[in-house]
Amino acid sequence: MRLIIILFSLFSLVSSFAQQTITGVVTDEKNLPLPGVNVYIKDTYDGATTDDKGKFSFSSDEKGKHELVSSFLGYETITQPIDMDSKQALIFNIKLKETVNELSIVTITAGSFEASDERKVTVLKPLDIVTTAGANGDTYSALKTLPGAQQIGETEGLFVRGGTGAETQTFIDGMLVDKPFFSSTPDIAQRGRFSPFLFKGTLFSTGGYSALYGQGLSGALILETLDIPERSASTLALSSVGIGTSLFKLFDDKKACIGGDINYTDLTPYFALVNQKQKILENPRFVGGSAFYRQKTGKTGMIKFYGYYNYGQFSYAFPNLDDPQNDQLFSLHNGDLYTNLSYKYAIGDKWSMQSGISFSDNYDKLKFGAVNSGNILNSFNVDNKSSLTQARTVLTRYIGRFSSLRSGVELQNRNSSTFFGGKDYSNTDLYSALFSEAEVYITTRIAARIGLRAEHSSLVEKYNIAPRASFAYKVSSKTSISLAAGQFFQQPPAEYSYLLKDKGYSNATHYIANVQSVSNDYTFRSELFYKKYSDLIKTAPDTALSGSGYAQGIEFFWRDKRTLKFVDYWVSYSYLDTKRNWLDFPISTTPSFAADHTVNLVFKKFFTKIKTNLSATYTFASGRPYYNPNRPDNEYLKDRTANYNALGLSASYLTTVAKAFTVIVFSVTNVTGAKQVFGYRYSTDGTIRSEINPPAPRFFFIGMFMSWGIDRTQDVLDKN
Amino acid sequence: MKKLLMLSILLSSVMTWAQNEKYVKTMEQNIAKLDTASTFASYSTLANNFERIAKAEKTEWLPYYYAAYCNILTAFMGRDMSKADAIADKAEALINKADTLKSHNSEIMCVMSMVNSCRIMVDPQTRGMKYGMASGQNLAMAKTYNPDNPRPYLLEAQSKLYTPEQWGGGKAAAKASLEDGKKKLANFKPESSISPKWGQKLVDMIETQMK
Repeated sequence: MRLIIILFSLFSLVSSFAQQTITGVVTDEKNLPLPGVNVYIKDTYDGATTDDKGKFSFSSDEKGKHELVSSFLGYETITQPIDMDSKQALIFNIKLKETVNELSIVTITAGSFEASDERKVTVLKPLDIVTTAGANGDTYSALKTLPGAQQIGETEGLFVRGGTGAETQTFIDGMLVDKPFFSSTPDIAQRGRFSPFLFKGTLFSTGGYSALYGQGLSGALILETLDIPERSASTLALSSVGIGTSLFKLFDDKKACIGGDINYTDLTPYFALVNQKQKILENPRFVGGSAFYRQKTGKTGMIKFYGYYNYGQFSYAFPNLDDPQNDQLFSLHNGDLYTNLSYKYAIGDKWSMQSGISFSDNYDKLKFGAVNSGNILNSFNVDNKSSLTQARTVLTRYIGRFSSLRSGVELQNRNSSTFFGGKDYSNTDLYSALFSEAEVYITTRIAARIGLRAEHSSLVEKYNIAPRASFAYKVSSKTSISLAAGQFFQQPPAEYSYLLKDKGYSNATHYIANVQSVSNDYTFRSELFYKKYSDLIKTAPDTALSGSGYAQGIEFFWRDKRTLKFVDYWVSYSYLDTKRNWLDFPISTTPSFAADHTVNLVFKKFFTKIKTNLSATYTFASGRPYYNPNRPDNEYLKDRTANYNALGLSASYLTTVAKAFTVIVFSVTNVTGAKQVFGYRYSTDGTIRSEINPPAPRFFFIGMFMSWGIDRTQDVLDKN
Repeated sequence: MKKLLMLSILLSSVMTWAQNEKYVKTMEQNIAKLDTASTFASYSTLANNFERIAKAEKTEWLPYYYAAYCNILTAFMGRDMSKADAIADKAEALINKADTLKSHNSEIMCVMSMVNSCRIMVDPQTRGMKYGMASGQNLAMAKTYNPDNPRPYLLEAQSKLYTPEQWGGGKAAAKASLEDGKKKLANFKPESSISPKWGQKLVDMIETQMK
């Protein structure tokens, strides 16, 4: 009997009837109710979820002192004491603070467009680069649809905000790429050498970029190579211009991979079908390959190697305006080697280091002369050779949760030589740079980046110090404003070094104000800029660093992925006002590589039923200045070409062929065949002129890209 | 002394029994609600309920499993894609916890696969390949761990429905997986009253989408 009593009393102890009710409201920092919050007594089942008004109510049998937990995704969890024996009503008004992480803090966006695979919301995704019509899979052409870049069709390069193509440098894993494009040929813009599929991150800066990079007066294209891929694969590409194959293999532990590709490009069949403006003497043919190796070392380390070699040739004749009987000869044989080895690792939580070395070597065997119906009458050779060896190390110290200090050193040894007329003009430059940059988050809404870069070149024999600063303020969860200012130096081309009495660097000062609003569905961005050039190279009346100029303007960008179903489109507009006095300009005027207005409309739609992705790009640029020798000096570059219009279309059909995931691409540039004139070339006496325009009104491309992935499910299963 | 010993044995066994009964009963109640839940709010409330049980019990894998499952369902139902990644992170942490308590489990693999599918939804173009493969691997493992589990087949049917034919998806492929799943679901005997047995709602959903 006694036992039964004990049992009873025990029971009542276990499940007591004296319940307490706990109620309250949960709000955010702005006192707005938070629905969905889990409010509960720690280590018990007792709790509730807040309703639409942020209210909660639950009862509990617990006795004594406990902890009340309020937890909600995206907010800091709050734990507070709760006394269940309290005689007073248990009412809690709880305020939760939003969690801060890398995704929610402000980012400095002045001057830069980022495309990365990482989870943050960026303006572009890496795939956008290859799916933009009119770009033919060329990174640089795709970036031309963004505000800030000019539509220059006669020569390669990113002409940014009144700057020349040479004023925008390309960097791969932090290191400068000496020859990012296939070698220049007169009046034909060349493609970039590197496939967009090599990179996981692309950052295109149209000004105000980080002190970690130098030697670009106007802009920088900062590329980051891929890490270890998800699976082994092999690919085959067949197209109207060539054939290529690649293979990469993942080692079993997914810690290393090795791969490579070989390509052969031959435009003989294409030129046989589509007539070109130039008289082709030797069809463009390129043979090349690349190899890579990537390995994870330890917990955080990564070694990456990339090597590339390409050999190409192309010869053609074009009219000589001073000699109507004969044509001018241009012949190019080129070999280009590029290698890049980098190592990245973290030392504890507070430090990380990225080091790299790179070697590149390029030669151009050029031949100029006179041609008559395919026979070379006379010719002379110019041989250009250049090599660049560089090493770079950046040490990062993390401070607090988000702030960091990066410091580094860069060394470059460049050898360039031109062999012409029995003489060898060569030079060597040893360039060194030291830089340090602090990225400071004052709050999660306010960030500042302050950097300093010091450089020295043995050719210039001088130091320069370039301060850079940017600020960003996050107005709301999606909108931020940024400001940037900085000094940018660039060495004048080496060939002028000997002629300059007083050596130095050309200089540009940037001022940028930007507002950006980004969500998953749309992006709006507007940027105002002013750039002041000084110490530009002048070649007349004397060779001196006495040139100057400015560029100012406003740019808009709008991207929308939501309004139209399965449609993604963007519109960009750039207004540019720029003048400069450099080279042999008699006056300060707008240079030939600057159009006042540029508009791009990019449209992409996926048709699920027919498994086809359709993409269209329309580009408009107002006429550009061109040189007319019949004008007096005070009217130098006064004439304007007709406006530029281009409509590019591309369709990709997804299918399976021979068990391979296959994409069949058809694309055409300038569908309407609109007349495009980039400028004019005049005879010496100024009486005859010819248009500078693309080799053919349109470029057609058809290709089939097959990839065989090696599914590793079985391996994973075997391991478990 | 003897009595005291008896008492303490009795006490601890009563406590354990009561605790265990409370656990099973609470789980059963919540699982029953899961059958009728249809809104975002109802799933998020259930996710919270299961999470509380998980944190109080600490060593039971099922509350972690259900908490992850309910969370990932809210991610699929949510309109704001910008939150889906954060929810997937949370669900992933919960299901990983379940996996440490109960390894090589077919049901856990199913929820892991749902987490990976959720990641694809945020940005199909860029993420499709990476997470599609991961999700497929999870389902393959789920099938190996328990060939009688209908859920990997149903989830496979669902994902095939949204996968283009050239990647092995499409209606016909989805239908084959669905039929397998339906057969297995009809014969499925859950291990206990609180073991996973869901699937009928998913069958209905896939069938309406297929029409």
